[in-house]
Amino acid sequence: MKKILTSICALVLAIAAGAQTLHVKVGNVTYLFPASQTGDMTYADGTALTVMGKTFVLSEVSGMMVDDTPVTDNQVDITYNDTSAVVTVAGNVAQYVTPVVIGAYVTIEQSNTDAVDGDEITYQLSGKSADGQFALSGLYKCTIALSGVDLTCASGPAINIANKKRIQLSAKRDTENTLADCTGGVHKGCIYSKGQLQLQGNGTLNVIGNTEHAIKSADYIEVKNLTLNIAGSVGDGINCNGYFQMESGTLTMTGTGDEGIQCDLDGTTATAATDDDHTDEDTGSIYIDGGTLTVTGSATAAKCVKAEGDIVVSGGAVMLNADGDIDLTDTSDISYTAGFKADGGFTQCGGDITIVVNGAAGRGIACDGVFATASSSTGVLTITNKGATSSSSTYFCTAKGIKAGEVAINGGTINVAMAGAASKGIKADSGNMVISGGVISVECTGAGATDQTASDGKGCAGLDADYDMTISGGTITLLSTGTGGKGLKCDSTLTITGGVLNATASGGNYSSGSYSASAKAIKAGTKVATGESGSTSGSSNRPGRPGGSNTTTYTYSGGLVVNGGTIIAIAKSHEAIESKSTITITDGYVYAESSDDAINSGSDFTISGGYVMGNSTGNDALDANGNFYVKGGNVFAVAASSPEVGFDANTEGGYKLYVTGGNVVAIGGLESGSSLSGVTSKSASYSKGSWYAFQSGGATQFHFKVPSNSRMPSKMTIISGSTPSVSTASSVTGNIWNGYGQAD
Amino acid sequence: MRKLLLLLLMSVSVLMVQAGVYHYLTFEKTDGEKVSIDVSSLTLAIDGNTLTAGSESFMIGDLAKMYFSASDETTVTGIDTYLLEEAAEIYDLKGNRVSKLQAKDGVYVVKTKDGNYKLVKK
Repeated sequence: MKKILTSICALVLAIAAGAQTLHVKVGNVTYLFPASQTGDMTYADGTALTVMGKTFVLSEVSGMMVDDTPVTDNQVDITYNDTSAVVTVAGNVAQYVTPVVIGAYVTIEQSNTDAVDGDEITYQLSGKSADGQFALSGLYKCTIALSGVDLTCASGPAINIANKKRIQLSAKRDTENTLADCTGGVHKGCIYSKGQLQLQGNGTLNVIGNTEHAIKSADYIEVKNLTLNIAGSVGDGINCNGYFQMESGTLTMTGTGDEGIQCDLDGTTATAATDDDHTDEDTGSIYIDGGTLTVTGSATAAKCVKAEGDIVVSGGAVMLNADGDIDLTDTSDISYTAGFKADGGFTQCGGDITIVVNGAAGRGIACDGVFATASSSTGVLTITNKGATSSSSTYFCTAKGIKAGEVAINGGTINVAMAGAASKGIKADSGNMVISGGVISVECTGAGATDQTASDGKGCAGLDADYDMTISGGTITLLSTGTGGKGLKCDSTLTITGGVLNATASGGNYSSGSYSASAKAIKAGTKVATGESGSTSGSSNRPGRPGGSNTTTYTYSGGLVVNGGTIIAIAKSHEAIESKSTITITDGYVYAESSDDAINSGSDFTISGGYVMGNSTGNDALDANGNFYVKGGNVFAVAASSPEVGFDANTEGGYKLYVTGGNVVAIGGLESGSSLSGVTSKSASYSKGSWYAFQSGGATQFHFKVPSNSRMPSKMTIISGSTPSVSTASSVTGNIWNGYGQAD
Repeated sequence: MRKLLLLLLMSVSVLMVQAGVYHYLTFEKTDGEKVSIDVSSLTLAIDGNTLTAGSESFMIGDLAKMYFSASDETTVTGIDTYLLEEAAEIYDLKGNRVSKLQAKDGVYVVKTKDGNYKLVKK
């Protein structure tokens, strides 16, 4: 009895021992069946053994044993060892996998594991081989965990997934994993997946694509947490369909032979996502939501990030280096390097983006749709573009900081620096440019250049719109220092209703033979010669006047409209503000300074409100090539000495200056033959550098400071609806007109 | 005391099953006979129609199934009559004492002067 009781105690102690595992070995594959799960293991016909749903042909079983090896359910381990590989399969998923091992090539066919508790199988890869592969086909989603694997495949992809379901490819924490494929193969990626790929894990994954892409999926790719280094590829670094999303992690690409990241449509037409998780999405779009993305594209015309759909950056840090040369293989379809390229639109809602472009005529951001920044964006976009101009008699290609169909800037910070000749900071070429917010700074240092295809001289431009431009908010600073460079160029209507615009053209005019480009701070509208009028007299460069004579007629379009906001325009060599068509100012604060006309309109010029100052050191202050109407507002015109005038209308063409209202100071007086109605005009003395208060009927309207220009007439004309007068003033703040005025 | 002993044995067996600790791999033949083999460092080898497990060999064609067990379930066969005749006491698996003459086919624990045995009466 005592002996029996002792035995029982020993048995109880034995309960604390480890559980047993049945090993069934078939070639290089070992199946591990926990004793607690096996239940009855049945023999059939003396030829087969079935364990946990997996049937073994006994003649193929090389051995069985029992030990206390722990088993991780749902897991298949593949360990590479030079020219061979060993596969271990957890018993609970044994019936769902069929491994084939030939040397270090492991192929697994997997069936649906929907019935498995925990649902997915995890394939854990480790070890090293210079000629091995992991290939997977199947009908269900799974996880591939890289646990310190260094795998090169000498005849195809290192990882080849024919499974069209969602695959999580995870680099385990604190592991470094390296995958490479062969050269000259026919496969599409070192990592290839027919199904969706989720790249994740807190480890590191290094990939080289020696045949085509480094990573290729026929469906979407998502990146999360992972440190992914693509050290080279013949094709793209990452190529996928549907969409690409970077949620977090660190992704670094160098040495790519084509694009860094490229995403295309899977189908023929785009399908929007059904929820915020991109479910069912097929748009060819790229989403950068977080993490750190660094791409250096050196291939000819390579794009660091390219989307057939849209590109949206809402977080993270992005650093792109577009170093590829221009592709002139087909001069009817020239291709350029770019940081971001989208066939759709580009939107920044957040994040920090830094783009450096060195490739000729390269773009920082290029999109065929709308370039937009969100009003709530705190994102920063910095573009440094040193791309040179590439030109011949048949093509003229200049670098762009941002080139889009349309531009809509509503927030965020944008800094663009352009160095190429005739380059453009931000350009909208098929739609309007609208700026309602944000802080924008564009500096262009490139010189002018001759565009032989247009028989014209071209200069740089900070903002360049082929259609309308509207500024209703934001703070914009534009500086062009090269010959012929403009701060802002709008070929249609420039409408300013708010915001602050500082535009400076400090370079000289560009001239080469018969081609030239003028360095203006702001240029709006177009004037196109439409024919000869055949009259008797008049200047050939003025609009045809009734009954008069001009040798050329023009069609005017667009122009400048100022209904609010603050404008400071300074040009060294040409008009500070020029409209090829009309100028209409109803409100706002406008200051223009130049050695030429401060403000010039190609057609009529109308001021009915606001505060306007033209400061010319060498020409007329305010000049209209048509009629000039001063109906209201507070206007301070400073012209150079005679024959220049404060207000000039095209009297040679039969036009006239009409003053019917407003509070006017004109150093240099008015164009001869002016019409004054309902106002009183007086002459007054002034001292250079002194502040004065302008009174109308005894009430102060505004303060002004007389510039100390070298060429100035000795008297000024003051005009107002009530008796105008000026008196010296002191302790004036100078809050408008670049410090030359104070609005009261 | 005997009942207590049987109950303790059964409880230990249940506990070991629940803990996943199995000391035996039990082979059951098509005729119902069972052979339990200690799993400590157990290897199984297949050679033609023979399966060798530890010190035991089986014709594979005679095997119906195998399973892990917490206790030794080896069938004591060929000596049923002797054990019944020599048994002082017979108990069913519930611990109930059973008459030798009235014991039906089934599994019993047989107490003899040589010790206790598990018996399968057919």
